[in-house]
Amino acid sequence: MKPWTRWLGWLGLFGLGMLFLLVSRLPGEPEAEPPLLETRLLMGTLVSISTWGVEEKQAEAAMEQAFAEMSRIEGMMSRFIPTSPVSGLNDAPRGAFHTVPAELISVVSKGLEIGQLSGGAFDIGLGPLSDLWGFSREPPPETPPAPDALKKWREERDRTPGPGIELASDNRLRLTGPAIGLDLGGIAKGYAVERAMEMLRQAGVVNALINAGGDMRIAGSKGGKPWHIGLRDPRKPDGVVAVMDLTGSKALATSGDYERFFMADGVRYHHILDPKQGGSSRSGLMAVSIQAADSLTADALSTAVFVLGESAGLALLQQFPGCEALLIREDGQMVQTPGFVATRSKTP
Amino acid sequence: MKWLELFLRASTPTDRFVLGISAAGILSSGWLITSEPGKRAVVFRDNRPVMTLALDQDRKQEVSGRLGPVIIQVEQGRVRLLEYQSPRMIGTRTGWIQGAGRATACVPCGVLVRVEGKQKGSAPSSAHEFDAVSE
Amino acid sequence: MSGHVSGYLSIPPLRRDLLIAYLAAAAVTVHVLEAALPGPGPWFKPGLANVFALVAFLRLGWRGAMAVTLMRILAGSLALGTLFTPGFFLSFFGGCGALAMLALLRMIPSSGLGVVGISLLAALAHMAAQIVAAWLLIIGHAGILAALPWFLAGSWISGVLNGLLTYLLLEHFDRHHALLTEP
Repeated sequence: MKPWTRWLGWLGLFGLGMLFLLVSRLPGEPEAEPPLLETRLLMGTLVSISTWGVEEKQAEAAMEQAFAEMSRIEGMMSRFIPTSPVSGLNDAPRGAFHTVPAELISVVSKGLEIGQLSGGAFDIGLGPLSDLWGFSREPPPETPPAPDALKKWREERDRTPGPGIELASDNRLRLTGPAIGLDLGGIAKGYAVERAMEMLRQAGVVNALINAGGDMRIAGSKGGKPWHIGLRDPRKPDGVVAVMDLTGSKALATSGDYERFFMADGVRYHHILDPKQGGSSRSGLMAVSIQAADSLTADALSTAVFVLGESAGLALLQQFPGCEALLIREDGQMVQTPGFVATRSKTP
Repeated sequence: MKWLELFLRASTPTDRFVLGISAAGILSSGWLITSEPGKRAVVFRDNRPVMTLALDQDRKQEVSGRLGPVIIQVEQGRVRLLEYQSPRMIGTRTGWIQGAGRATACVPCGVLVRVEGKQKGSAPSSAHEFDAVSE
Repeated sequence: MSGHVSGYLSIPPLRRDLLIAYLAAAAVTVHVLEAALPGPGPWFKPGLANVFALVAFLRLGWRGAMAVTLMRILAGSLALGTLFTPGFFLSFFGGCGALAMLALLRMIPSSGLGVVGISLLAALAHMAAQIVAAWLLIIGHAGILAALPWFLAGSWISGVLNGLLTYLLLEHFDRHHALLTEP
């Protein structure tokens, strides 16, 4: 019999051929390992968490903790949950200081800071005005509130100087007028997302994406591939006007006039309220997206810039180094700051 | 009988052993693959599972939501929530969902439908499939 | 006596080449006829042509089997007009898979495997290589691998049948006194 090493040579050649085929095939294989995805209803929106590169059990436990953290923050900062400290403050008579959780104090003070920098365009004290408009009501409103009611709010609001929210030592807080009520809708979601990402990080998840109804936080990548994020077309629910491929630690938030709105007599009334107007902000913008280092800042700035409009909004952004914006004007034109990461964008 | 005789004559004991082992291997792996459960969607009400829908049976299923009944439609392995007049009804925006892990919801109703299982190996079926959409 | 694996016959060299040519010609004929058969698809053929490669393997050695197989695939595709089409590459990889299995079996001479076992293992390797090639070259979707057990079940049956046919063929083959004389 011939030495078997000869046949081994042939076998090796065949094996090499197969290996070559396999290797040449691999780069074309799209996302060999897809991220794990988990979704919940939280904070009045659909919250999804994707993780990558962590074993399933560990990832699921981490996501569970992240959801629980967001739920805990909702329970503290939602004005729609009657037992929350925020509801407690809103229901209590005005003028007296109340002790609240330190976490709430820190979010409120951050909100007041951005409110001041924005010249009052961002306002966490609009609870009563939001109630008047009722965009969070179900079923949603179909008409604007009565002019009398709005006038009354305006008069009362004007009697209260400043933001109407005061902080004191030992985690105390007070609301100073009847037209003032905490509405952390423009900031609490961002804070919760930020905290959720922190929970994931502590649980050993390095690559993740959290999406809470457009408030987004990303970390790492999908095995070297960026997280692939679309920016919704303000007028076409299924359309996308820009694509953002993001890696590393970044936050992204979008405010748009299409999230909650109704049309009455051909006029669009949406949920982003301008404190100066006492109604839907008319700043010439349909949507504002902010990229920032943390979700809380991105969330608050997207609202602030929306209310301020293009020129004042971009000026405000100057005070937040590292924050970038993409604005969509009412005519569909898009404007973006140089550092805003977006590829393949087109006008809507 | 002739074939059996031929088989017994033609095969060695090792042959029969290899035949048996390979048949067992093939059949068990085939059985494993077919007994894998069909795709299903889980319906959640306030984040608690309330029912499971097999996606291979077309049907319309009504579930009670916070604001009244919500209709879930299953068709050709896909699932969606039927129109509900609310701008916050994400379900009508998402439309049909199909892939494992995908979800659709009526936020004010507290109803969420999620396709069971993990995303499959060759994940995004089109270039337009995003990890998330900012809105 | 069982299995017919008892070593090579001492066949004179010129006779060997002629035999390879005969076996290859027969294999090509069966290959083309089989392709003309109506069937559920190109992958569910009994692979009768492989019988001749097995005869070559058992009586003339691995190189004989390789010669018969490659000639069958090349000449068969030429005859059918499918040269360098996907179907050709599938056949080619299938053939290579079977040959690789035969080479492997050659390395363990005292395995006790007979015609039927060798035929079965070669048929399974043939099918597995074909499916992997289809996955890599044509379909590009790992879903086809999920169907592998069913394809393998089919080739299990054809592997056993081909083994029995090979056995019968070998009985005639070995009785043929022409083998032992110069042509």
